[in-house]
Amino acid sequence: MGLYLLPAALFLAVLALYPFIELIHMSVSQVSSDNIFGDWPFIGTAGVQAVAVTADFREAAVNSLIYVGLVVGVGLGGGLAAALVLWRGGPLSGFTLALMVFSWALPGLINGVDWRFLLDPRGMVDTILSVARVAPVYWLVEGRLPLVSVALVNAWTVVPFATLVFRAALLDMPGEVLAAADVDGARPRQTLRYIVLPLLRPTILVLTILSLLYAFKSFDFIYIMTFGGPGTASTTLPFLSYRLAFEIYKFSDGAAVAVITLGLTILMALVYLRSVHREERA
Amino acid sequence: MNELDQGSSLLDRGLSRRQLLKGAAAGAGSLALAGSLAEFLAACGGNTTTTTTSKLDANTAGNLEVWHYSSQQDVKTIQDYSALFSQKYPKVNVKLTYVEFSEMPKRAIAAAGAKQGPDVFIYGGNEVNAMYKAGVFKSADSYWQSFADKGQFPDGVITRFNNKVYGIKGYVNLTGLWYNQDILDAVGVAVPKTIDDLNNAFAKIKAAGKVPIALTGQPTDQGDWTAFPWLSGYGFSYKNPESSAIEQAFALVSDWSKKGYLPKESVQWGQAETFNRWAVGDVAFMENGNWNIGPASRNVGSKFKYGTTPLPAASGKQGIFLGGEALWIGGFSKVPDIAWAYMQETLLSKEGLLITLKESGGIPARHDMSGLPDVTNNPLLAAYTSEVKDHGAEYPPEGGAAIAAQAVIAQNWSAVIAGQKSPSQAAKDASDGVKANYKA
Repeated sequence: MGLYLLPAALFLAVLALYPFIELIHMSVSQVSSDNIFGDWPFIGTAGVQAVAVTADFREAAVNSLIYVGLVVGVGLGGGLAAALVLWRGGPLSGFTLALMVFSWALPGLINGVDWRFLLDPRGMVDTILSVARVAPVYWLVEGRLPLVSVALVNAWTVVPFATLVFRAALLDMPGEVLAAADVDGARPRQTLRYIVLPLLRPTILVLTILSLLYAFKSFDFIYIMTFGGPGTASTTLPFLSYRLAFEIYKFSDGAAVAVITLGLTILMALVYLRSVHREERA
Repeated sequence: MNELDQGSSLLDRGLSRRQLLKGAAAGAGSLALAGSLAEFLAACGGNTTTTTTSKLDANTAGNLEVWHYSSQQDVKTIQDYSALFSQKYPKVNVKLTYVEFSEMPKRAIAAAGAKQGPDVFIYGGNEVNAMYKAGVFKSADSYWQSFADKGQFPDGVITRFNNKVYGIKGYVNLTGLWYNQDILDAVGVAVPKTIDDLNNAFAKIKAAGKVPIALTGQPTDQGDWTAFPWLSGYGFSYKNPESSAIEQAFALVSDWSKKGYLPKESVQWGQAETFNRWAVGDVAFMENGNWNIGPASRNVGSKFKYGTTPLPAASGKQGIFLGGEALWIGGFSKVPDIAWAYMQETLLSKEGLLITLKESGGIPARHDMSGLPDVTNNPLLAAYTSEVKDHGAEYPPEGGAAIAAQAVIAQNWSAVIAGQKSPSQAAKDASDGVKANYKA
């Protein structure tokens, strides 16, 4: 049995464990382009502490919270709504699901470029709004809108996945329970609130954790659509880590931000594992 | 090595950056002081006067990999360089590898970690210092010292590390002000010479329902490149990042943005998008480079009349970065002799520079091409050659050691245009950020 696990263990060790150890090593060392291939002087947690108190980090942390909240909230809310609409099946339902899977399967790079054009003041979204005499909205320019816009686009790609999972859970729901509610005269809203949502609880929990992890490490949409800007208005922690490490070659600072981000991600993964464990025991 | 040490090491190179700057300006400026056609033709007796590595000849065989970032639009130039090289070395197989501009330094450094990489880099970004330190480049000093034509190149186009030659730019690129003559004629304004002229023209153009100007507001090195002429005009430099100087430039561009002279979405535009927006035909001006001469000819054509003029300056202190693609020998090249031969036959040769000039408008740095009619008689280039002479500034600034400070400037430039920060706040943040990230 143990032997069969060896390839997977080796795979993980090479592609996950080794980079992880190197990341930790870099975050507690002084590394720049000067010594990236040389010796890394040990500085302990001083680097992580120094990065964590900067204004850039604080701004990126707040941006990350807003971003994650929107991606998870809108992604799961939209996914649940779509799954309820598509629950009963039919040709239109199948076609819609196929379209959703297509948009989900598109690389973030393609989706990001498409949405960047769509959200341009001369793009399709503002052109349609102008028909209703709405002034151009600077989706990727003004105030908090760039961060919100990118998060909503990212949430848009979460919706199909959430829809598929929710729909699978709905199709698996015991028909007799729903029939009993129907016989008892429950209205659709009551059925949803008192029957469907409680039965979906394990699915919601798993999807929430997975979406949190996905949103927290999201990078591609920000890179393509705003490059963290204007200024630093849409810079999240993963993007800050990228900028520090690969734009200005402060590798140890970038690693420090990544380690903090990773710590938060691991914390969420532990919650996920614990919830899965509980469900399995139940 | 910390940033203070980086600054010291620059001074330790024994070559003052100011001298380099003057060298660049003086050398490339000679282009503007054109020579005669006869001089050009006499000097253009072919590449035979240019020495190549003696060990190589037409029977030299091998493989040569070249990394470049020329997109589909201008990859023909790179292909033409290789064709030029292949005429002399037909048995050398040249492999051109496209690497996206911003990815080039990362991929090069990663490759260097594995002791790999191409034989030649064509790269003119601001990350050369980091790439050098990571061992991406091999010194070309020994080849350069025996290069018969080395006297043809101004010092400012040569990049040295530890007093050794590494990269050489065969041509220079810089930004100027492009204008749509049709719009100016319709509105009744002359080509602006000063910032006041520019502001007055903008007001009239806006009132006529046209877009006054397009420029790059990205929070990237392209944004920094675009911002520097305005900032330096008010006295900013990376060594002297006074908040008051930065604030004046930021107030100017913030005013343009607030009044609708500059589209706010320019914070998303790189230089290519800026050109594309201007080429639509409803934008009066754009700040952009001489490399657009070819694309303008192809994409604008006769759609509207256009021209170029030097960027208006707030003062004589204005600096305009002298860009252009340099050639570098890969740090792990197994065929450095062939790599040097490629450099010699392409961007260091008259024939190669002629390709660049005709296809993309790059201004040849060679002294013996200063009288070339394509340079002296091209009205679009005249603005740029005068800028080189009067305002040419070293790029990357401070030998690439100010890269983190450049990022700070670009972010605040972008924030001001978008209205995310007031000019005073952005100036303070930029000044503090530059001081923290660059100590000369």
